[in-house]
Formats: sequence, structure tokens, C-alpha cells
Amino acid sequence: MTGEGASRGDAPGDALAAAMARVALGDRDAFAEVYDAMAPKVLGVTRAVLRNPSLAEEVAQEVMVELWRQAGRFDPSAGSVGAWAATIAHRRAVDRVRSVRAREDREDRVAAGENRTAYDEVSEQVLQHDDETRVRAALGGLTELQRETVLLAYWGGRTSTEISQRLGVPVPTVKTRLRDGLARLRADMSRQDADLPGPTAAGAPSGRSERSQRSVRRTT
Amino acid sequence: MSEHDLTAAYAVDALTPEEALRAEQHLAGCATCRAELAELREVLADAIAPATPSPAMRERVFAALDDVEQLPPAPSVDETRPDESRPEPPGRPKPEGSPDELSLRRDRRLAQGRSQGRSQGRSQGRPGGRRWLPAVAAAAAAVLVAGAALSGWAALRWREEAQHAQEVALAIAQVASAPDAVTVVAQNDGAQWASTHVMASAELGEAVIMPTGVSEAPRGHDWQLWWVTGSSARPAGLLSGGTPEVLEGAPDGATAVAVTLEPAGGSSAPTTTPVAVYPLGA
Repeated sequence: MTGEGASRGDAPGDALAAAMARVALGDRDAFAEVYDAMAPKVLGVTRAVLRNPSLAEEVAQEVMVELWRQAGRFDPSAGSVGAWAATIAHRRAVDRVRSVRAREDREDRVAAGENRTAYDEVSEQVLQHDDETRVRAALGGLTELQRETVLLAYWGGRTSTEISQRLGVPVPTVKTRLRDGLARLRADMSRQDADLPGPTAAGAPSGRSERSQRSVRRTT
Repeated sequence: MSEHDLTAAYAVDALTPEEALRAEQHLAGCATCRAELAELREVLADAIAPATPSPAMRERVFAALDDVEQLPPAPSVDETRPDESRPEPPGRPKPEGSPDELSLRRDRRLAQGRSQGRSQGRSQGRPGGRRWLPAVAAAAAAVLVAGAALSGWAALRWREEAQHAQEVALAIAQVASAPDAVTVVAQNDGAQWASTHVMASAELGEAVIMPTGVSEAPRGHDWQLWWVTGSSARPAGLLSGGTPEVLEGAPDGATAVAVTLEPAGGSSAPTTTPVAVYPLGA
């Protein structure tokens, strides 16, 4: 598999995009194909964010029905079926986790030590129980601060404002860490895709990204 | 921090609804950021470890398909139009945010609209108002059917309307599936408002109104919705004829939803006696 930017032109992806076109016309066999390919990813997203397995499955189920409903809107030129499904799944999961959290926060005021706990939980789940070694490797390339921020945002479903409060840093710093962290993640993962030994992925000249990475490490 | 820098936070859904809107406006006009967003979404999707769904989930999903009105594929005449509002390949300018962004704005607003510190004590045990869904789907479908015969600018206009109907339908589905969803009827059931209901979820901080048999407001006027708290009222948007609508803003402790007839475009405070009042308290 070669990761080349937004639309990864690998054959399974093309077949899936073609299946989506048939799903849009109400073809259930095509949806079965999409379901089998996408449900594990969608559940992976909702479980990462929601953690409660039954809630995660409930939301994943809603998302899969959404894929059926919105199939006519899927545009293969805008990205892969996987990215489309994961985007919808993440939004749904985040929406739900914020709802649940708002209720919990009302019932039980935030305890002093929660900052650490929230991050530890997310971190532990992603980095220790996550069997995707490439993810671990990619996140491993981030600075500690970037990793913490990316984990709290994508896996923890936190807003940048919440992260700012939890980590005690200004909101713009959170956004900068997200930007730099995701840029790093992207570079690392496309390097893994390309299976190259050096940091030359995504068109970055060799050495340059390493250097900027170090400067990020110093300044954030 | 420039608008470009919002893309990453947008990609991980870490923005407030206001920021997300700003990001979307920026994305609509910035091919570089759209390309970056597309790439980040691929990366994030890749970064998630898949999980194994239960066979029961598969059964439930397939069983649910019967009740779901699919959005129609974009009309083929539109496929090649340069002003198509569907997302285009990175690098080409496009006039609108991509559909998923637009449709998901509703999700964000819902997330944001959740009121803080509202009493949970009056949550009703009623399982969500799913019976509304067919009606809503029908309303959305009516818009779609009406648009199917159009072309050119009319088709674009129709697409906007369809998009809105779609957003409303999604919001209604969310309110309906909230565990604390309640459906209320008008206190003062004036003739044409007797069959119109408001469905609300305190947990989501959202309410939707489902007009039935409501006529268009007289020429030069609009039906306006209000959040009522005690003796004060906050604007909650306009109601256009017989289409379901999501109330704008959050209840923030509102005790009722009211409808008044206002000069076209609405007022900042009610200027007439409400034609319908929907008590939100249990």
C-alpha cells in the first residue's frame, strides 16, 4: 500500500468507493461490502473516544446507518471511504462523549487530580492496549507535549479549550501543538507507508523535519 | 494564530462551534487547507486500531436500513457543473464547504448547545420520540422530490434547501433519541397550532418544533420562536411555514417555548401575544 496524499489509490479503496456508489442507489449487497470493510474501523473510532464498549457499539451502529443514508454524498475525489467514515464516526463519538461528560460534570464536580487521570487513561489505552504498532510508532515520534495534546483531542474527544484548562496552557498553544503534532504524525505515517528508512516522506527534505521537530521540542 | 492553523484542530473536532464555523468558512476558500484536512483525515483514520463489532450490531444496522430515507445521489446533470457544491479534488477552488462539513455543523451545534447545570430531575422516562422520524424523513424527502425537476441555479438553491432539511432531520433524530426527550403540546391550542408539537431534550439543550397544519405567516410577517424564562423571552429563530425547525440557541433554563407573529425578519422581543406556548417543565 502506498499512501499518496488525500486519495489513496489502492485497489481495495477503489472497490470500496465503487461499492459506495451502489450503496447510494440502495444496493444492500454493496452495503454489506462497505459494512464489513468499515464497521471495524468505525467501531475502533467510537471505542477509542467513548471507551464504554456498549456505548461505543451503539454509536458505531448509528454511524453505519448514517453511511447508508449519506452514501449519495460520498465523493471519492475528496478522500477515501475510510477517512469519510472515520470523520463521521469521530464527530458522532465526540458529540456523545461531550454529552455524557457534561452530565457527569454536573453531577460530580471535577476532582483535583482528574487532569492526570484523564490523560493517563487515554494514553494507556492508546499506547499500551492498542495493537497497532504503527500508531504507537507514529505517536512515538511526537514530543511528549504534542502526544498528550493529540491524544486528548482525537482519542479523548476534548476541545482545545478543555485541553487548555487541563494542561494549564493557553488555547493558541494547544492549537499549535495539535498542528505540529498532526503534521508530525502525518509525516511519520506516510514514511511508514512508503517504507522508507529516513524522514523524507511527504516531500520534506531530509533532515529539515528532524530539525524543526527538535525546535518544537524546545519551544513548546 | 491564522485561520490556516485551525485546520488541525478542526480535523480532530477540537474546536468550539464558532471556531469550527470560522474554519469551515476558511476551508471553503482555501485549497491548501482543504488538501491538508483531507490528508489529516486519512492519517487519523489510519491511526485508529480497528475493533471487532458483534454480530448483533450487524443485524441491528441492517434491520435499521428499512426505516432510513437515503439521500439521493447528486443528480447526474450536476456532476460536471463547475459550480457544483460537492467537494472537489484538492487544488481546485470550490464555492462551498464540503457536504459532510455542512451536515456536521448541526452535530457541533448540538454539542455546544448542551446547557450547563440544568436539572436532570425532570427527565422523562419516555424512550425518545422516534415516531417523529418518518414525518421528518417525509418532509426532507418532499424537498428533495421538489428539487429533482430543477436545474442550474435552481438546482443549487434546491440543494441548499435539501441540505437544511437534512440538517434539521439529523438534529431531530438526535433530540428524538435523547434519553430525556419530551414532546409537548401547546398550552393554548389556538386552532391551527393544536397539532403542532415541540420536542425537547434538556440533556442536549435542544428543542425542535414540528408544525402541522400551520399556514404561512401573513405577508410581511414571520412566525417567530422564543425561549421563555419567567417573563422574559429570547429569540429562537423563525419558522418557515410547515417545515420542522430546530430552535436556535440553547434553552438555558427556559421554562417554555412560545410562537408569536412578528414583522418579517423577526423582532428582538415579542411584539404580539403568543399564538402558542409550549411548557418545557415537567
